Amino acid sequence: MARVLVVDDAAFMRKVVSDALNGGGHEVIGEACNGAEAVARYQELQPELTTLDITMPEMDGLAALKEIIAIDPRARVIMCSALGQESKVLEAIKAGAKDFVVKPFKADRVLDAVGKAMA
Amino acid sequence: MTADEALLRIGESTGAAVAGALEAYCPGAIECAAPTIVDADTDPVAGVSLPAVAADVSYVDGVRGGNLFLMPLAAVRALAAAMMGADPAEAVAAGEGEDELSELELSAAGEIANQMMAAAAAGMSTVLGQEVEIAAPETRVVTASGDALTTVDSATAVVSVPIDVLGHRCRLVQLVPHAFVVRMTRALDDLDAEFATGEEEVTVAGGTRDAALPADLLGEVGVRVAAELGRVSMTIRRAVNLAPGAVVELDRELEDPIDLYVNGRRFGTGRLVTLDGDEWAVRIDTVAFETAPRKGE
Repeated sequence: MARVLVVDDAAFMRKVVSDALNGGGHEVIGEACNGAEAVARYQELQPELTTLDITMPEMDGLAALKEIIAIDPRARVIMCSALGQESKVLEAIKAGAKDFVVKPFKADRVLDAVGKAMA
Repeated sequence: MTADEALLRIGESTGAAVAGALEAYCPGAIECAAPTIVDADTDPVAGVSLPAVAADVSYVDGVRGGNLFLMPLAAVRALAAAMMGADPAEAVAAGEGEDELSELELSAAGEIANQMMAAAAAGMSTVLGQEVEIAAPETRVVTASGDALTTVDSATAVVSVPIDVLGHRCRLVQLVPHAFVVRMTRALDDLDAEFATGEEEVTVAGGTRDAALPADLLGEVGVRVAAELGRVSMTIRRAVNLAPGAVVELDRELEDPIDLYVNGRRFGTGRLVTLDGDEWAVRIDTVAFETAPRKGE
């Protein structure tokens, strides 16, 4: 079981990801709706794992990832992005993300990625 | 290719990408009609029941322009239910007569617009050979068709694509600046030319291109030879979701010959063999730009 911070600008996606995580026995300890909030919540909550959308207002997921990794080089971050943002995802993996999940996804895909990141 | 043809190609490919993203949630329940170029006197959102949710998605890098996806409230309710694995018909019946959406339903509309336009941007990136990125979507409820679109300037073309989602008529409206049309026209012309020369015999004065090659002059020029075992078509969605261990079936039987290419052009067929038991090689069957029969061509 992991304590997870879920970051997405769409409330709908935060619910979908949270439902999937809760269904897999994980605990969603917080949510954020943009990159800046994600960094602040990360420092405040110190989650074991963070799911991060890429296209978000204010600060995008890639910039947030880099800040989170700078704060905590061992941070476990999984990128969740829509199709078409693969080049950014590759950049994210290079920047330290553990995995990426392409939307739309099934709950099992999220849980697999979390399981691998926590292993 | 004319500018209008390029505009319609943009509309078709975007419509197909949008429909593909929607199909992931509503298999078999998406109908995408042919795009039309809308003139200044025509309402580009005609035929959509109001009030409706308008989701704006702009390009922010690579190209300029915008997209508006207009969904009647019933379509949003049905789609949000489908995205969460619930029954769309029940959601529509429950919302009958209601003029407002829940925050979650409105958010679902923005999310699906993001996923649709990200897929469309991926297609454009491929055609243009350059990364095309989109901004986060902005959603709002419109009650009059005049509110759906802000004023369109004369340097922007409007393409409209009707898309039925679970039986509800929605509409994709693309705002395409003329500079973008010019770029796409060139890119599509290049793409068409590449396909034409990649698979067909090209006739030049005095005979075919291979016969006209001055081989004695070009004999020392290096070329890239490739052997192709087989091909498969799949959606971009499936391709990026391929994981280690996945098995992708190719279009060849074990006994079929493989194709040989020189600098991307097929010049013959052959059979895979091994050399000294530890190195792959190809025994040539046919040569000289013969057209080998391929399934699906």
